[in-house]
Amino acid sequence: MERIVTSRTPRFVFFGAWIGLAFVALPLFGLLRKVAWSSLLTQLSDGPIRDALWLSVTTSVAATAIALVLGLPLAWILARVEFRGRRLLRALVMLPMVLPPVVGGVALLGAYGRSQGLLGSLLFDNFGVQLTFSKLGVVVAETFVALPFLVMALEGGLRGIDPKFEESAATMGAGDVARFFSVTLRLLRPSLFAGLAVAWARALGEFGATITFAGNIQGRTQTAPLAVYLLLETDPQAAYALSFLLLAICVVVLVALRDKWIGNRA
Amino acid sequence: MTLSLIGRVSLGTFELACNLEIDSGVLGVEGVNGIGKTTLLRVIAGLTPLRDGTLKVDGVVYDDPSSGIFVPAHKRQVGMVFQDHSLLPYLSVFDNIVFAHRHRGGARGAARGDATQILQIFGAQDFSALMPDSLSGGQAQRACLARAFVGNPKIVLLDEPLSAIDQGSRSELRRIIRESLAAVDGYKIVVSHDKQDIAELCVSNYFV
Repeated sequence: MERIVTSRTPRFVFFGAWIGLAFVALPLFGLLRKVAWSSLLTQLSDGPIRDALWLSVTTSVAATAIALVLGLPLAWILARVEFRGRRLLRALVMLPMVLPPVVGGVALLGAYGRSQGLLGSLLFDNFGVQLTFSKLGVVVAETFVALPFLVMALEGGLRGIDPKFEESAATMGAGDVARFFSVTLRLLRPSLFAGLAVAWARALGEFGATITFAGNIQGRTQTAPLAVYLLLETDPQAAYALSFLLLAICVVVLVALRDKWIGNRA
Repeated sequence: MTLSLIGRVSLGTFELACNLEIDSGVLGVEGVNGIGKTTLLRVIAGLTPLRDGTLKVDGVVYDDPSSGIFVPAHKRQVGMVFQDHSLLPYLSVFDNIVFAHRHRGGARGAARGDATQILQIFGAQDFSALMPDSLSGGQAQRACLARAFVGNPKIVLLDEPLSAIDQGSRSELRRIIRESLAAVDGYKIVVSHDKQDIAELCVSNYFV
């Protein structure tokens, strides 16, 4: 935007950036072009699609909530407790972020599967609870992949909090619990919202771990992304409609995030 | 009744040895920058633990690494003014005072009245509705002073309480602090590099 900056940027960089932009934008345009706008609402309210959407919304919200409960203590430990093996712990917690989702699904089967799972067989034998091929299994798979995103955002946020606020609150008589809720969490709010949004978007879009661990049963474990994949074969119009909706949700999340980050700086 | 501190604190590359005993008079702490005056206050407040030695208040051990006793900061009934003002950024000045009042165990019904009163004493009533980030340095310091004194703390620790106050209002605020300190039934320590502050606020001196 400023002349000095522009004159320093070589032309081939602009050229590369344009190609990069086109590479990202073209598929989006391609998707929008395929959407049948006039029948969009009718398609989205079709029984199986509605089921898939509702399942996706409920499981992703549940997964985000569980990720928060599990992720906040982890983030706290990673940000504020010094111990040997902290880097190892961080690597372990962040692993699902880079792991192929289908591998995550296989790993989940090994742990929570009904017959061969370490914990899964215990759960089934003692309580009759089966995670695989159930709605609960969808939540487990989504939590697994969403957790690292939340931990990363919260750890960063916790590191950014100046200890002087918690210290002065302590001198005012605020105990551990009061400090956690009325000082730390309050100061953490921007990172918390950002982390929740990214984790939720990741849970909503989960495909690989879900289909591997929970299967693809219409009305039970078939989430919106799984439905899109199947519909592409049988009813492409509906697949595009549902894809558009997922895209729209992600755009809304991104915009909301940007506002949060700006709000944080102000 | 006394507060006694005999012990050492690790401060990164060097260590601070303290040996002091105070009664109800105001103790002034002088010394050049970086010598550990703030650390001394942090030890008493419970924000920095002793490496060895004992901190005792009214005969009760607050900190003693050899026996593993450590009373956490929030149980020490401390009112502290930090060097860099530390008002909670998401609360107005007034709500910062109420926060302190509530957590020091003040009666819920009395919080607003007490906060209004203490803000008036420190000349902070005009900006009590403002958020901390819109305060001047002097205003923030007045708010911090009000927050340190609200709710009857047993130990009052003031770290450079007049550093951001302009010359014109210094003597007036010094008088207010002196009177407020006199009203505290407990232990009072003022850290300052300003000899006049120490001379007018304190009855005894401690050189670090």
